[in-house]
Amino acid sequence: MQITAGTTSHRSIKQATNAIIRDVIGEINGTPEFLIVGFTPNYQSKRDYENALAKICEESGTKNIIGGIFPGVATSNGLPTTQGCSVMGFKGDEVQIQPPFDYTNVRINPKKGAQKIRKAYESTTKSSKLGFFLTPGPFYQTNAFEQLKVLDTFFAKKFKKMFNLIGRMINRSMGKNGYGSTLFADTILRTLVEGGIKNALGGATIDLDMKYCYQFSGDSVFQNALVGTVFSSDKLSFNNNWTFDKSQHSRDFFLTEFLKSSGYVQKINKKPANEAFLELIDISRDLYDEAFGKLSYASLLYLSALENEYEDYVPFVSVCHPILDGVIATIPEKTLSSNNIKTDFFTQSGTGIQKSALECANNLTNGMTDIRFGIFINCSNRLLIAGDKIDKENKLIEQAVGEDVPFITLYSGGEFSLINQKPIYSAVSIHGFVAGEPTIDTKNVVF
Amino acid sequence: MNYTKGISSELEDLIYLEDVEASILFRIDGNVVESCFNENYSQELLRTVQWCKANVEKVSLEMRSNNLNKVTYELNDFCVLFFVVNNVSILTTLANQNVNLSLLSIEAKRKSQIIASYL
Repeated sequence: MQITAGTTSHRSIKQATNAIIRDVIGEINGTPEFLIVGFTPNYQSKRDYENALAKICEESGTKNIIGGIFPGVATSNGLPTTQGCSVMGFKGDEVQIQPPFDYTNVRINPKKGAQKIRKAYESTTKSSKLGFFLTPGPFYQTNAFEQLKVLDTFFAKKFKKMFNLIGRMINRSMGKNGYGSTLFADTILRTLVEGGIKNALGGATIDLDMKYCYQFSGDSVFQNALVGTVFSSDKLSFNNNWTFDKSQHSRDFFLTEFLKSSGYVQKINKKPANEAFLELIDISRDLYDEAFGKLSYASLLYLSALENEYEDYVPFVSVCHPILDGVIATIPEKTLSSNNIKTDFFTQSGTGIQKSALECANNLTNGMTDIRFGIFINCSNRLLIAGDKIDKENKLIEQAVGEDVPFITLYSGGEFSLINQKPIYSAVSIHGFVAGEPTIDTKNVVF
Repeated sequence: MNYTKGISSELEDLIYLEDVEASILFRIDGNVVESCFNENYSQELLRTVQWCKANVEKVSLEMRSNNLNKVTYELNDFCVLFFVVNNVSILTTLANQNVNLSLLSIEAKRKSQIIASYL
């Protein structure tokens, strides 16, 4: 099996595209069977991305492409870039990669998106299978918080019984075409579990300004679509796993009042959530706004983690906006099942996230030898936490999977996995998958 | 591509990043090897560049003695990012204070390594 990967950077998307065609597609002997393409969002124009994809399709001779925009992209053989692209090309019969599928209305109807994944998954009979999909990421209208303020101060307090209905209205108002956050991915994962799908890996495309995000399928560029494929093989086995930085556990608290359907937390420890949240992380309003104001007031360093029916800790980002009394948290409805939920705080650090990347990669290589390739979906928040030290994460992954093993890392706006029918929708985490030969247990035989 | 053109192109890439005002490759004695500026640069920016030119030797000595690869300063409403390229050159990126320093430092690190390969 021939797998090539490369990263290039340039201010012009044309130059970046030409360079990546030379470095990745040119290295494959013949026509690649599949390409994963990640561009950074700085080129902005949809037309530019369409032209770039058309060029890649023309030069590679294949329309079997999926991808999207991510604030950072990297490959095993290149430093991460925030102004360029990374591509991974596949050719060979060890792994079958299904032609790409897409569904353009996934924010509104995530269940239908899940059916697309399921259909592709079920169309292969091979022994190892893994669905791989990319979705739209967080997206907020410019006045979303102001709209939320009206709902928060008036409706949510006056008509408490209507909380969940109002929650849905809040959620709708946060995004132009349905859910502004990536909570819909949790619905996709749970629908896949119900459909008997075992393994999947996904990530959300994102522009950190949260103005737009694009997904690629073939030479098409979408704005609110799910795109994906299914990897399958009889010869190789696939491992997928996830983790986050759990090294600095600070304290516990209780979510005491919230709108289930929107992940809008009104009270923490029976106090207004906004005030209580700042008290918990021990930061003044001014300092918090200075640190996170540019990032939609999302507290990237402080992760609240909740227990769900599958995992002890699943981390979520909290948005603590000055005009709201509550806190918006990316917690799915199903996780907010009881009335008083114990939550844990984890503080993120550069070295902590590096260690978690190594932990994830080490777990992936368990029971596997001669690894052929890897795909990693790493939260873009981790990119902001680590800064220029982010390449160390990839060095550690390389250390775990092997020096010459090609892999691609996409820095996403939400990461999701289905690991042996266990759905994981999390934030500020790393999810990954590797393909390799299963280790055969050899027992000592005494003749 | 000759090396001057290559370096110049890498510096130009940097000023296309959001909020970046200038990128300059200094020799550690303060001489400018190559530079690239945004079209509408201000007097304040030039004053900050002058400060960089006068202090790059001191900064590089400090970086070398403390084994630092990157140093960031905030002055005159600008963020100044110094990245070691090799023993004799330093990549300096000047951006306004709204810049996302984490994202900028990722690209500046990449550029410093590419520029090092040209020298």
